[in-house]
Amino acid sequence: MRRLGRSDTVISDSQKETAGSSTDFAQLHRDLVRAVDRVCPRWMADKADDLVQVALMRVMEIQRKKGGTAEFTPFYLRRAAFSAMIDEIRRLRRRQEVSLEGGGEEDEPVAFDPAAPSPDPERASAGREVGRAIRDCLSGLVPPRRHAVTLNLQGHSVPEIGKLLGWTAKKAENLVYRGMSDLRGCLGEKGIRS
Amino acid sequence: MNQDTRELAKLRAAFTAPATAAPPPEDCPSPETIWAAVRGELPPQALREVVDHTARCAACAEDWRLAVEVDRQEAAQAAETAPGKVIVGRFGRFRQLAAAAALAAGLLVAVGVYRQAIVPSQPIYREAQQTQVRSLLPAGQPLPRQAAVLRWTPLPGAVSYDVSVSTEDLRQVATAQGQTAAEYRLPPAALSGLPAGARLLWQVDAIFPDGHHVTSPTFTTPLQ
Ligand SMILES: [Zn+2]
Repeated sequence: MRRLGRSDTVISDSQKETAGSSTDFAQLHRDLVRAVDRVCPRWMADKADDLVQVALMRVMEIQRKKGGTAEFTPFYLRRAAFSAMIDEIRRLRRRQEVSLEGGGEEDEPVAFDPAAPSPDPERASAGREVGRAIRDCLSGLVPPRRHAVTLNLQGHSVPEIGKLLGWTAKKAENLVYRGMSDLRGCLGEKGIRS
Repeated sequence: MNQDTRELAKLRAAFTAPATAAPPPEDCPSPETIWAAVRGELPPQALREVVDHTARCAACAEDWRLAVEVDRQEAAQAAETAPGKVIVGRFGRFRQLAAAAALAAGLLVAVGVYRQAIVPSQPIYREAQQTQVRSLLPAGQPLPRQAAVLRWTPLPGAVSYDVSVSTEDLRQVATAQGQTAAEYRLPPAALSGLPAGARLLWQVDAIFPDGHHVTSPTFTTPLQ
């Protein structure tokens, strides 16, 4: 079956087809799929479309139940869709965990395995090990450095870190620098060279 | 890419490598909390607690990164929209700024980093104008089971249509390829397991002689 595609606009016949709402949904759909593709390509792979579709359908359902469109703003939509998407991702993660805990059902195909779909399982495994080591090292950092480094590892720039944590750019830079240095030292002690 | 950038990229990748096991959900911040944290809308202490959690929890680290990505796309999109449009961008603080003026004033400097990263490789923001297939079903009217015919506006030049019909939870109900008319009659048997009021999602692909196709929006229609 041709899957519901990436250029979907979700429009309900039973809802007003305002240009604004359908465009919002279409845009949102594309944004969410791209976000999933970019952030979790290994374990989402071809699931992004369906996952986002489910999330958006849930948002539409909430909208329908509420009646009215008072909150039907792009801002509200985006937050609601993000929440629905994360709920769905968490549900899938849990399902995967249960599936792994269940064991003994090797004939049954595992529908969702965040750890496995990497083309190179060894590398994926090594990546997870380094990830664990990083988390372990972070727990030993003093809080301001830990916060700075965590956000830096999450992809935030130094100015963004400063804004989020209410620091001056100079302070943020300092804490990121020192924190990253601590992290390298800790990883080095664990035999991990970056 | 210099040494530092490479190293940071490697560490970032490892930090967000998927965990094998998900933590108990009750220990994790809600999606709304993560969303608010990423946008700088939480009080400082609450924000630090969420950051600390993501330092320990790979799953929430991934959720955080998704929030960042969605937020950044919103900011990038806002920067591309016409002047005067409300920009609910990074940290929710850039509002009522003309995108051009904001860029000129350097207010979106932080955004610049990821704007560069997410310059679309395809013209995704303009796709909506190309989806011209429209549903011809009367809005809100339930589809009779014994005469469940989906109808849509034909596209000039299209030689055939593929149709896919699913339930709301995306279970396949029926598909059809190569329909030459701009309508599709659903087999009653395909609908037999569906309760009254079930909503059908349906989508049409218009196929052109050169092989390209135009995909419709996904329409939803209640079943009688
Ligand atoms: Zn968590």
